[in-house]
Amino acid sequence: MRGRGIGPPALVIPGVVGLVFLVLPLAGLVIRAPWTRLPQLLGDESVLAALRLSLLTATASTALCLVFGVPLAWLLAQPSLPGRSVLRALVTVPLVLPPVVGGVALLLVLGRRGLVGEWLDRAFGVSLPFTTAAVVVAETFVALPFLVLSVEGALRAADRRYEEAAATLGASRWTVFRRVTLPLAAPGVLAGAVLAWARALGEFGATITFAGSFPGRTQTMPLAVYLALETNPDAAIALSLLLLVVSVATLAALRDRWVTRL
Amino acid sequence: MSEVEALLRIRRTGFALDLPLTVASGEVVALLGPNGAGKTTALRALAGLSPLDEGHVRIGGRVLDDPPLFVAPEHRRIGVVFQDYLLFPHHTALENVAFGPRSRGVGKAEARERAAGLLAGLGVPADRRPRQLSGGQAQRVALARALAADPELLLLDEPLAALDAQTRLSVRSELRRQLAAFGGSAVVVTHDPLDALVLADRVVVVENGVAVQSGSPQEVARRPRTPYVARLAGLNLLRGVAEGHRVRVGAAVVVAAGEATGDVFVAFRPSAVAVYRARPDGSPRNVWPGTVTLAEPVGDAYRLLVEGEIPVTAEVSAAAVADLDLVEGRQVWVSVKAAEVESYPA
Repeated sequence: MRGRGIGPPALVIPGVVGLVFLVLPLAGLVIRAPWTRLPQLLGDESVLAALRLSLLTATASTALCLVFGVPLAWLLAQPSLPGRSVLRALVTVPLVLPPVVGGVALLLVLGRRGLVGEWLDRAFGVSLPFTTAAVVVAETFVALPFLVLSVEGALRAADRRYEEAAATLGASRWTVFRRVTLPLAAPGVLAGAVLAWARALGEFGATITFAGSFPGRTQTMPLAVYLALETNPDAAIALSLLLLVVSVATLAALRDRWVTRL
Repeated sequence: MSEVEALLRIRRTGFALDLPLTVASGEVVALLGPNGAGKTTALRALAGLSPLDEGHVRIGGRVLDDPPLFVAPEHRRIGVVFQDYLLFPHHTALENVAFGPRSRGVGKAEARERAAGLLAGLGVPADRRPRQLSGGQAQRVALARALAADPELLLLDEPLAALDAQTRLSVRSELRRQLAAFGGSAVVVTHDPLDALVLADRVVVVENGVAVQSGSPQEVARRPRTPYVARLAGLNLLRGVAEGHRVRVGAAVVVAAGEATGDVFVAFRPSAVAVYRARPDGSPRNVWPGTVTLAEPVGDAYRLLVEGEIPVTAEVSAAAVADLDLVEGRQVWVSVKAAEVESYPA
């Protein structure tokens, strides 16, 4: 290269090492994948069951995230909300919490002897742990903060005066939210939903702790990958490859949003 | 009947609005004032976007704000045209205009039909989104959106400020026709005296949160009561104590056309001021020495600032400036005929 080159070696060398460190394992996954046996491996009934379960639970938890997360984000974005910064910090905790700790916490609250779980069991005969519903609960727990922060950012960035304009036109607060606030924040909601879905799809720690690993019921893809590594490494690689493809597709769907928003 | 009767009192740190305001049925009132005078705050208070601290807002006898009583903006029938229009960017022009009727319970088909009719009358393509509209078109859509909700009172915040000078001229006269066609009461906030002159029946001049002058645009322009209004109207304004024709202004005396007693304002046009290098002899009784502190071209004439016993703005021909060599720093004499000087009670 002519001119002054890219930069000082003290920056370029560690930078390149970092890049290789990030890319090499993924490249290894692609290189070592049993390409010829891939259709057969992925066509296996247990793999398909894990895939189905993963897509189902991730989608269900994304739906829950939207139902509860968008209103929560709206509340956090209200300038008049008392203790807003404290509440925001609380919402952020599951984001940095080790997922396995989240799983333990869920067990303590929703488990058969848990604070809420015991009451659920006695009153309705419902026991959550180690069911498909528990998978959805675990995934929602870890994915919700992603959605809330993304939507809250979009709501705060939006010009509030559009809401005022809508009010002067006679729109009720609910109509304003539905027809002005939400559409203006739609890109943020979409980005948040995609992030939440990807996070739910990859969930491992909270799921295995709170829901266990029962094939067809609570064994999602990441759990299947981990368990297959012992018995059938090729299947584990094939499943990993599938998750990698999904992740890259998610990133492509978000494009620069991922980089700019979070 | 949509008579507005309001006393708008809002306190903010370092600012207080204390503005009585009445608007007769069908009247267009302009709130004229410099930036930061509180005009927009007054408008927001009327619309219910900024609740009053004290005072009241009544329209047609209905109380909308009288702390602690407060009617939310969506339950008032007050249309607002915002300074930058605030057209919903995700809606087409048609959906923007249909928004008001829809929110007030009109069926979707009927609301859209009404909006389409309004837009067709304005010559604005209904299916465009706000960012595809020109400034003039956006202004029309904003007005149509406010009017489609069938307001009792229309508020316009600097309705022409976002337009370029060329467009402003045509939109201003169009707006005048639309306000006449609307027929309801309206309040226009502006810092442009021409807007007030063209659009309003009555002008209320607001400075530092209080009304300093009110009257017809012509009246206000002819008899300014503050330096700000005088500057807008392009007049020299002095304040003094009158005794018949003679008005004492500081140490000097100004002779006015009319007679008065007590505190008065004295106003005269810059073009009525004559400038000389030596003290003029003869008739003019208002003659003062001074120093030219500013000489700037205005159109094909020059505007001079002459500082002296009585500070005066004079408008003289370019030829006079050349002949008399009226550069900054020049010692001159200025004179004004008494017949050109108007005095009125302060």
